[in-house]
Amino acid sequence: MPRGATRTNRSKTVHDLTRRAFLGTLSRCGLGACGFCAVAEWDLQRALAAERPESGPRREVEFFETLPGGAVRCGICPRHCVLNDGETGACRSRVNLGGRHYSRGYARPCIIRADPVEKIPLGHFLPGAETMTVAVGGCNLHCLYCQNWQHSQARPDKLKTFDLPPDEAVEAARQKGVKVIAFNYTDPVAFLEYAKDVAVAARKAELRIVAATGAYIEPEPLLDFAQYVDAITIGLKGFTNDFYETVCDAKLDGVLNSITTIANKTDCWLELVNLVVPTYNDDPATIREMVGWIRRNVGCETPLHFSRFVPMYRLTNLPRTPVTTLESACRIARDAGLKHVYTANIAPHDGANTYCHKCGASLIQRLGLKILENHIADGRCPKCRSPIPGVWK
Amino acid sequence: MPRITQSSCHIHRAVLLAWLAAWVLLPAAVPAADPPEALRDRTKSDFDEQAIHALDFMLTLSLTREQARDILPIIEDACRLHLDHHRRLAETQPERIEAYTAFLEEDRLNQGFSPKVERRAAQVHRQGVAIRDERAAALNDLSDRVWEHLTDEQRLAAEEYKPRREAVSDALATRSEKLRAARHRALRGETRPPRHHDGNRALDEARRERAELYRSVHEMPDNIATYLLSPAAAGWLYKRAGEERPDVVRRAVECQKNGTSDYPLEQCKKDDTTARALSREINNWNLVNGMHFSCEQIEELIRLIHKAENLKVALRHSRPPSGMSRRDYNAAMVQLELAAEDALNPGQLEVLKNYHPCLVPPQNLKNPVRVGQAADNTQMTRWLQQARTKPERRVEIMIDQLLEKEEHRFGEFGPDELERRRNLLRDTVRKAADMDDVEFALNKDALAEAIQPTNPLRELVGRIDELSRARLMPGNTAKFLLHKEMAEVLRIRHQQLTGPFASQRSRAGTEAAGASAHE
Ligand SMILES: [Zn+2]
Repeated sequence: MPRGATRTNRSKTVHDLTRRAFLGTLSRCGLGACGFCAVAEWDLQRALAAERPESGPRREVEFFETLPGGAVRCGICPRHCVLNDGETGACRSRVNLGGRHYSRGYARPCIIRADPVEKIPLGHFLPGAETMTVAVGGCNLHCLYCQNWQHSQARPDKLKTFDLPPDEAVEAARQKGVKVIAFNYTDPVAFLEYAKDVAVAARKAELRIVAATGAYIEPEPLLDFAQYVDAITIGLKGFTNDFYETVCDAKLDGVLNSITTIANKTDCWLELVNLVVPTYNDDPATIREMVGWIRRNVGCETPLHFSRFVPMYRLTNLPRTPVTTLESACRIARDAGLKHVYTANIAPHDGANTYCHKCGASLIQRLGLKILENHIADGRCPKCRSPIPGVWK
Repeated sequence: MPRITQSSCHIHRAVLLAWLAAWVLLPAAVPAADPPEALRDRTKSDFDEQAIHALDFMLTLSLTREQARDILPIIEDACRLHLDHHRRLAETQPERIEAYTAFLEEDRLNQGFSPKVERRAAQVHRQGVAIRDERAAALNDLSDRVWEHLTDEQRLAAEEYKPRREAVSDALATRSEKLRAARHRALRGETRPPRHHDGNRALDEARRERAELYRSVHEMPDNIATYLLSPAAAGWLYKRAGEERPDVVRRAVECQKNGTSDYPLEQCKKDDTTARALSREINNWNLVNGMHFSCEQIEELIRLIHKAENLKVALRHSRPPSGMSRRDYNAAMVQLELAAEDALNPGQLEVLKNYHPCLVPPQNLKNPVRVGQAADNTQMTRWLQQARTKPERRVEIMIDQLLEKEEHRFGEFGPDELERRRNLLRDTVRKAADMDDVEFALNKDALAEAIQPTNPLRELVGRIDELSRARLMPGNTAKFLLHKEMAEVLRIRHQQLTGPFASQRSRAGTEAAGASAHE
């Protein structure tokens, strides 16, 4: 039984049950109570996992603490899940096996794709570059609107997977002729051990590494990973703790901490993305507060993408984000002094294009994930020769 | 089988038409009236026009009494079909209007569609197409039965028959009326070559090809089905055969004239017009939603539409030779089209270039562009994923099935084209099968893209657009953007962009969802 797990009280009651009692509760609640069942699914898996033998490849987690009685306290994300023997963390991907902490689904990605770097989204990093994108199941966030919930909200070893050790991942990328390996679709925080090993191998092979993450992670493992990463897009999903707790099942501070860590302590190219969910995080005052924080703590040159919400997973009762909302969010960010503000997941839209922050010249014209025109030469505006922040070659 | 040639018909066709019109159409109603006079009162009726074209067609074929008798059972079936079609329209048209209206309401808000509304609109749209296609197919089956009773000459005449506009006036008018009508036509410039003829063979050919292709994809009733198997033709055929019309034929004739008591023709036509208007408006909204115009762009487009509309009025009211010629009109329209394109950004131009109107745009989560029938290779990726694991024999079957589907959707392949396509599919499946899983995962999109079927109809639309532009004629930009219905849509969008445009759904529902997910 986990002690002091950082999950909120509401789920702790579920943790405290034995499997039999848990299933009993579930049947008493009536399986028709879908909402409850949906949350309980994770806990159910966790309860069942305790009695099921582990199989498949795994690798020991680097950041954890051994507790008395064979328990471990995970040190990857601010949840610090405390796991007894056989128990799985909130990310569904780390497990205590015989008093040792393992990353499950190691080298078993459930997604391998060739995508343009714009998919991350990255607007100022090698525009149009093709990536080999890899994702392993599981996530330490449980966002209600997750666009890849089938993979992120599942146990990595329960998905259909590929067998791709890190050196083979690099080889596959080279064979495909791509220069960038990306971690996207699910959060690399959940499969950090594999992501880091791939990144190390990629660095040796002179391939670049980019990652999209919710960045709900402790500074130490983040820095350990980021030293091998060339660009990172952090999803700053909202700017109130209430939002993070209600929608993402996380806490805002942990994410802000990661953003400043990347911005101030690494050479990683950083971009931020904010998915604007109608009625949840579209309040102009909060957006104003958020962009103010970004300007003060990260700087005005960091690109910020306001992404359009599409009804998904558990938020299917909401409309798509009105375009006007995205446009006004962009206006607020520009007024606050941010130089490169974008709309995402909406096309064709002028907000997706890059303009020179100095002279206003059109630099990159985009249509969805496609680059239609790119006029940036040597990282500068062709008209006024101002340097444009980013990684251009 | 009787062999009566066209030359055996010695009486002048116009005289015969007038005589037959009087004899068949109005025997009971106005027996004493002069046929042309009596008919003139009713020229507004579609039924009479159909009846006259049917007569014209039958005169062209010169059916014998025996043939008419042989055809009667088929006509009876056609009448049943007609009644059944009307019943299906009665059942579906009101629902279609309802579904389109609900879809349009959400389309106007541009916040996505409720799954139920979206599904329903797509469903009734598909249903409408199916009703149309099924009717055409059933009529053509009956037409095949008629074909069996015709001589080779009659078959040729039926194939080559083109409805003559004069057929109606021949049947209706006195000589002086004909002259007057001809003078009016001359004044309207209708005696010149057909309006769309512009002396450009490539353009004409592309247009003809487009029409043929459309016919090959969507079954259209042939000439026999259109002119002989219409209830409007039944009266003549029964008279020719010298037999009484059975009840089902009477009912079908009545239905074609006035509809039925529970779904009068007037209502049926009104519903059809409404549904078409809704469908046009939905298309306009889809395009506007997909283009994400800014306020400035909308203002500029509205300004250009006003100019275009003024041009259209000027052309309509111009009197040659001093008035505006079509060439002047085209040149001015092209200028407006170029101005509209200047107002768009490269992304919007790219979307417009590939735009093909579509009632319910397919959702593609890999691509935020959702306008018209955006290309999507998901289906081909899935097909390839399946095919690469199958034995060769099974792959051949899969290819056959796929080709059959493509022919159904896009029209038949020529023999060379079919072989090329089959080889491409075969080679690509082999390539995919030779890859390991990781390699395939990385290359599946590119492979699927390579075997993505091309829609020849869409290619032709693109070619016609290019050829028109080369001939200094307006192209698709003018067609899709510069018309007055679009101005109205743009005006509303402008109001939405500048006024309060808050989320239409309540926070209460949202909170309920959040609670159920995390608590
Ligand atoms: Zn500049």
